[in-house]
Formats: sequence, C-alpha cells, structure tokens
Amino acid sequence: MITRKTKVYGFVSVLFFIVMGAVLVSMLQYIEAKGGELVQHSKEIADYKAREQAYNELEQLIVSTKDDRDELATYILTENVTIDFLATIEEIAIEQGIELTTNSLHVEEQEGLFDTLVISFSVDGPQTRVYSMLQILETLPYHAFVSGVSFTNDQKAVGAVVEGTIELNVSLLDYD
Amino acid sequence: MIDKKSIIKMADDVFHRSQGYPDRRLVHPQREWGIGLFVFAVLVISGSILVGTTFVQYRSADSVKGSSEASIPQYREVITQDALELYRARSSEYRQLRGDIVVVPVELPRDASSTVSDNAPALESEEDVIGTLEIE
Repeated sequence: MITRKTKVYGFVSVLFFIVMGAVLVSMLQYIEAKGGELVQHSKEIADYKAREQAYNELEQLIVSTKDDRDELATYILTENVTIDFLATIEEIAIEQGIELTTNSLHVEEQEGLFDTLVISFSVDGPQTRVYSMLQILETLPYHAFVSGVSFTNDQKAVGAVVEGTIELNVSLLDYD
Repeated sequence: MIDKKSIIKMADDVFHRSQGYPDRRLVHPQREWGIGLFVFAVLVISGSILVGTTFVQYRSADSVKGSSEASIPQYREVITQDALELYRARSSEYRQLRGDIVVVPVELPRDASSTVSDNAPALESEEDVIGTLEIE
C-alpha cells in the first residue's frame, strides 16, 4: 500500500532528482561556456605566439640580409638620384669627348614595384668614342638596358664621326 | 448486497482510472528497485558519454595551432646572389671602362707609354686612376 510516508519519500526523491538535474544541466552549461572561453584564449595565445615567431623570423631575415639588400639597392635607380644619374651620363660623355643631349625623359608606369625611366639621348662624336659610350651605357651598374640605337655617319666631318640617338631604359623603384 | 449495476460501476471506475495498467497503488519492491537501477544506469552511462565527449572536446585546447595572419616575404637567396654576382661583374666592367676613359684624355709621351706593361693590374676605381696619374 502507498502510505503517506511513501508519498513523502517519493515527492522528496522526485524533487531531489529535479534539483540535481537542474544543477547538473547548469554545471554542464558552465563547463561548456568555460570550455569555449578556454578554446578562444588558447587560440589567441597560439596566434600571439605565431605572430611573435613570425616577427622574430622576419627580424632575423632583415638583419641577415641587410648587406645583400643594401648592395642590391645600389643597383636600382630611385627618383631622388635620377638627377645624379643623368649628371653621371653627361659626365661620361664629357670624359669621352662626345656631345650628348638629352632629348626626352619620361617615366612609363609599370605594374609592380618598378616603373621604367625611358631616356633618349642624342650623341655626336668620333665613332670609337660613341661606341665606347654605348658600351659604358650597356654596362651601367643599374637595372638598365639600351633599348634603341640609331647612328648615321656624318659625311661632312673629318674622320669617322657618327651622330645618332640612344634610348636607355632604366628601372625606377616606385615607392607608391 | 451488491447489485449488478454497482459491480459494473466499480469495474468501470477501476478500468477508467487505471487505463488498462495494473493498479499502481500496489508496491512491488523488486520492480521498483529494478526501475530505479535501470534509470540510474541510464543516467550514469549517458553522463559518462557526455563527460567523455566534453573531455575529448577540450583536451586539445592547449595544442591549438595559431596563425599569424602575416605572410613573411620569401627571401630567395639564390636569385639574390645570382643578381648580385651579375651586377658586381657589370659594375666591375663599368668601372674598368670608365677607368679607361679617365686614362684616355691624358696623352703620355710615346716613350713613357711604352713602359706600361700589359700585365699591369687592373685599376679598381677612378680615384685610383687619378691618383696614379698624379703620382706619375
């Protein structure tokens, strides 16, 4: 028979079961929330460590390659040394004893890190000197090349004198 | 004495209340303990599975691999060294040519020029050339 005492025990048991179930569910939710935070914090720490490692590697790379990069940079023309570059070419022409005039100078926009500085010169002088000048232009210690040459013999002049144009393309570092 | 109507009414009540199930007012200890143990076992097993899943889920939380989201530019050393070699050679040739140019304007006497040996070391720079010429 179900007595009053049994009913009380049953009620208390059910109540205890419900309370413990609620406690269990809330504890599981708490563990889930804390677990989520743990994962997020772990991810942040791992990201931070990865960034720190990348920074250290980059710093080491920058230090270890500084000499090479500095040397390589001297072979690349920049806008602030363009005038000096032109002055050097004129200096070479004077040294060679030929007349040199800069006809045009313009920058061709290129995709990527470098633009191209296109310079057109008129030259007039003894053939050997002009050829020597051309050879020097071809060996300029810059990322440059002679893209066009046009010479004609000056029939009126005494000896082998040529006049013509030389077009020089020089890579120009684009800081933009 | 109980008449037929009363018996039908009592049977109807019992049937309606119990809905075909056995009378729950009767306690069967073995059955109740069995049910209790079964529920307990179900709770323990499901709880273990839940806890185990949670444990597995967060066990590897500290071994998460991070991403820096920053791409380190690749330094191609071989290409750099090749480029440096190329431009060093080019620069050397340029300096040599310009060195020759500096020599050209200076017209040495014929007898003096004949003393210049073909095996003379190459002049390193324009300054060296000028310096040598000044000494001479």
